[in-house]
Order: sequence, then C-alpha cells, then structure tokens
Amino acid sequence: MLSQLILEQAVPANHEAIITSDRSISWSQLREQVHSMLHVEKTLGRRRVGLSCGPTSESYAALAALDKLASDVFLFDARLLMDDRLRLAEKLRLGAVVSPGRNGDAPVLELHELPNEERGSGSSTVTILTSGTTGEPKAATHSWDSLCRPIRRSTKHPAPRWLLTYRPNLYAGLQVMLQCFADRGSLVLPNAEMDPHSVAELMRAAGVQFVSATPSFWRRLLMFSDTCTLQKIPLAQITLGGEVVDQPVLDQLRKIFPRARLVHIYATTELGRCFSVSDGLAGFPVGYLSDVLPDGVRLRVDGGELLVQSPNSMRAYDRCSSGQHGSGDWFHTGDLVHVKGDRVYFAGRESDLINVAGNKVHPIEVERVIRVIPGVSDVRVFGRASSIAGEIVACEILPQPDQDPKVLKDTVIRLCRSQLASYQQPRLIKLVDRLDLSSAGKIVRTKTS
Amino acid sequence: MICTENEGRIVEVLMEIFANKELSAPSLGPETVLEQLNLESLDFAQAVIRMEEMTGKDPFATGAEFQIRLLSDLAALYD
Repeated sequence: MLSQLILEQAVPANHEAIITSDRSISWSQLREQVHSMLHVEKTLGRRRVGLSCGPTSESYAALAALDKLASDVFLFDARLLMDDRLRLAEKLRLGAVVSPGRNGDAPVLELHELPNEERGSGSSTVTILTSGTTGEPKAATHSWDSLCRPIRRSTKHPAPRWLLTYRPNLYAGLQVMLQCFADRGSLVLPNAEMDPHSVAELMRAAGVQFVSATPSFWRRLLMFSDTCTLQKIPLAQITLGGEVVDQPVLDQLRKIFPRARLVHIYATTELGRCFSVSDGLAGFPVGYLSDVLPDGVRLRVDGGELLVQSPNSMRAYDRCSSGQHGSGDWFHTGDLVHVKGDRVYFAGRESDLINVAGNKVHPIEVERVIRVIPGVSDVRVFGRASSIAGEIVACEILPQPDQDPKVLKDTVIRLCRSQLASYQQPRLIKLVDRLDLSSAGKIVRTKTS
Repeated sequence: MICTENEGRIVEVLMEIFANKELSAPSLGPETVLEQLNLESLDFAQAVIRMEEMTGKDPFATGAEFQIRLLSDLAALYD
C-alpha cells in the first residue's frame, strides 16, 4: 500500500515529500530512492525482514520497496544498537536486517543475513514492536489494509504539510506518514535532539498545517517556545493522542491556535485507531458506548476498564513473539475509565495504579492536581516501593523557568494536601530539569524501588 | 542533645514531615518517644524512604520485626 501511495499517485515532480531542517526531498527523488531500494532489496521478497526505521526518506523508501516485494517487515527503532537489532531479529527468526542510510545524496543499505529464518507469510505485512515497559517487546502484525483503513483523504487541504512528532517505527508515526502521503503532502521531520523552540521555528518555516502529538509534547511546546512564533504557524488541525488528554491542555491550545481544528484520538498498537473526539472537551461522549463508531468500532466498559472491538486491529501477534491475544471478541485495553454525566473520562492505565497500603491511586488524578499549579510546567507521578506501605506516591516536577524551588515545593505540598486524600499525596517530590518521555512520546511511569 | 549522625538525620527528616503538614515540630532528640508524635503510618513510610536515600539502607526491607520506642532505637537500625 505504501508503495502505491508513493509510486502511483499523480504528484507534481518538484513537490516536496520530506522536509528536514537542512534538506528537502521531492516526490520524484523519493520515488527514485524507492526504485534504488527495490534493486538492492530484491533478494528479500516474501521474507521476514527487520528494517531499522528512522525519520529519513531512505527509511520510507526501503519500507515502500519491502511492501512492493511482499515482505513481512518488522520495524526496529533506528536508535537501537546493531547488536540489539540482531539479537531481536534472531529471536523473531527474521531472515535479514536492513539499515538504510545515505552516502552523499545516494541512498545506501546495510544488509545482515541471518540463519534460522522462519518462512514469510507471502503477503506484505508490517509488524510493530510495542514499547512494552518490561521484558521483550510484543510484535503486533498489521496488514497494510488495517494500517490504511483509518486514513481519510482530504479534499479541503491539497498537499498538506504534516509534522512527524512520533517515532516512525511505531503505530502513530506510521499513521501520520500514511495520512500525509495519501494526501500527496509533505512530511516535516524534526531532528530528535531539537529543543521546543527549534521545533516551533521549523514548523513556522516549513508552514506546517497538521500536527499529531502526545499531550506531553504539546505542553512542552507551549511552555518553552515563543508564543509569537507559535502563532505564525498556519495550523489547520491539532491532534492529540497516546496519553490521557486533559482539559487544560485543550484550552491552552484553543487559546493559542483559535482557528485550528482540535482533535483527540484513541488508538493503540494492537487495536489501531479506535475513535476521535473533536468538540474540544476532555473524555468522550457517553453515547460512544452504545453507538457503532466510524470504521465499525465498538466500545464497552467492564469493571472500569475500556474494552474495544476494532476492525482496524492488528492481524495477530507474531508467532515468534511473546504477545498473546486474549480470547473473545473484545480486546481488554488496560485503560481505566469512569462515567461522569454524559461524558466518559480516562483515569490512566491499570498497570500504572499505585497501591498505597491497600489504597489504589491513579497517577493521572494526582498529575491533574499538580499540573495546574502556577509555576509547574509538567509532572510525572509514579509509585515508589516502600517497605512500610507497599508503595507511596512520588513525583517529579518540571518547573517553569525562574521558580524558587523551595516556594514551588511548598505550594505543591500545600495544594495536594487540600485537594487529595492522605494516601494520594506525593510523599517524595523532586524538581527536575527535564522529564524523560518514552520513544512513543509519553510520560514514563516506570516504578522505581 | 544529638549524639549520632543517624539521630541527626532522623530529626531532620521528621522536622521536614512536620513542616510539610504545617504543624509546629515538637522538640526532637534521641529520647523522643516516637509513638507520642502522632505520625500517620504513611509519614513513617516517608521517613524510612528519606532515610534510605540518605544512608542507602532500609532496615525494614528484610521484613524483620523491631522493637522501636525511642528515636534513638530507630536511628540505631541505620548504624
């Protein structure tokens, strides 16, 4: 499917396909790269192949070529060390690992063949390695059809410019790339090391119209980049996903970008895109629990957990990986929800719950209280193992610039005490210079001991 | 009044906990009877983690039961 999007659509030859801070690649150059990759990858047809996939035109060209060759592609984060790639590839019984790069302007491909290759499926598939927090990643295999089904072609915005904020090897990154190329647009790729100010500057300079990103990304961008620069970005649509979206971030975005359409999306690697909400409010309408949603998606709540049936789902976990699909039609998402009035709100992941002396604490609820405290830019709340209480609540706070640490800490403690039960209050508070985000752009809530 | 380094650390940690609760801290020393401080069990959990951060030790992690009455008894577990 990707190969058709790149090779078979009518696009003016000089129109840009990929834009980075220092170069741009036209659609005709991208097509040449696909043809050149087809030539070097020709022995990989109908085989299981690991692709080191970074935010580069060469990675997309190699992926499109493997699609055309009906290969089963396993997407690896390009930042993985070669030894780790090979170890993972052996475990998944792949036939080869390819790492695209360039030499001057010419695309090149490093190819490692491996023994113990399992037979390919014979049709073109894409396997995403989920960013599981523990142990080996699960390998979720999608068909190109299931990846492309949620794509909606736009007639309103011809040749749109999309910013890619997600890792290109993960579900959200694939969605953005496919949506952009399906609309014959230009994909703007920020450098992974860019600070928020430079990202805003790139968005302005490249005339970005569409951005999909996590709430953590948006908060950082709003906090640390210049509002004047942000307001010069011609945004038509802002999409949030990957994490719980709260009302303050929606309100801030609405204020800075009053003309942009504001959408938040619920999607997972396994289920694909499930639904979106565009009324500018956190949560989703309670009617979604009884309606059949676009693409035929259905939702229900069981024991506080959101269950989903989605035709955009993966085909299965790969047979050589550890992931296991639960039985039954309904997929247990592990996302906790509660209904309040005519709205359903997310309360975080079941696995993130902190057990404080038998009391369950939702990190999201504590974060919600702390995040709106003046002087706080962002926060992560997590469980800290305690020999006395099982776990206690700990948090790391990213302060806004020029805050007095002592005053800020005291304010946080005071407001948490007035708004949260004793067991919900953070007992360990650290101020930090940066909050690390996972490769999926989400706050990391790994428990520490 | 303060004799050992660990007693000093415990006093510091407890003072911090009282300050966070906006309670005036009682005078604290090795002879302070911990039970009379009216600390919640989570305050105690917090103190133990703060002590672990300072000393690298958690005497309660072994699951052993201790007889602790005085502040000095608690401090001795970290010596």
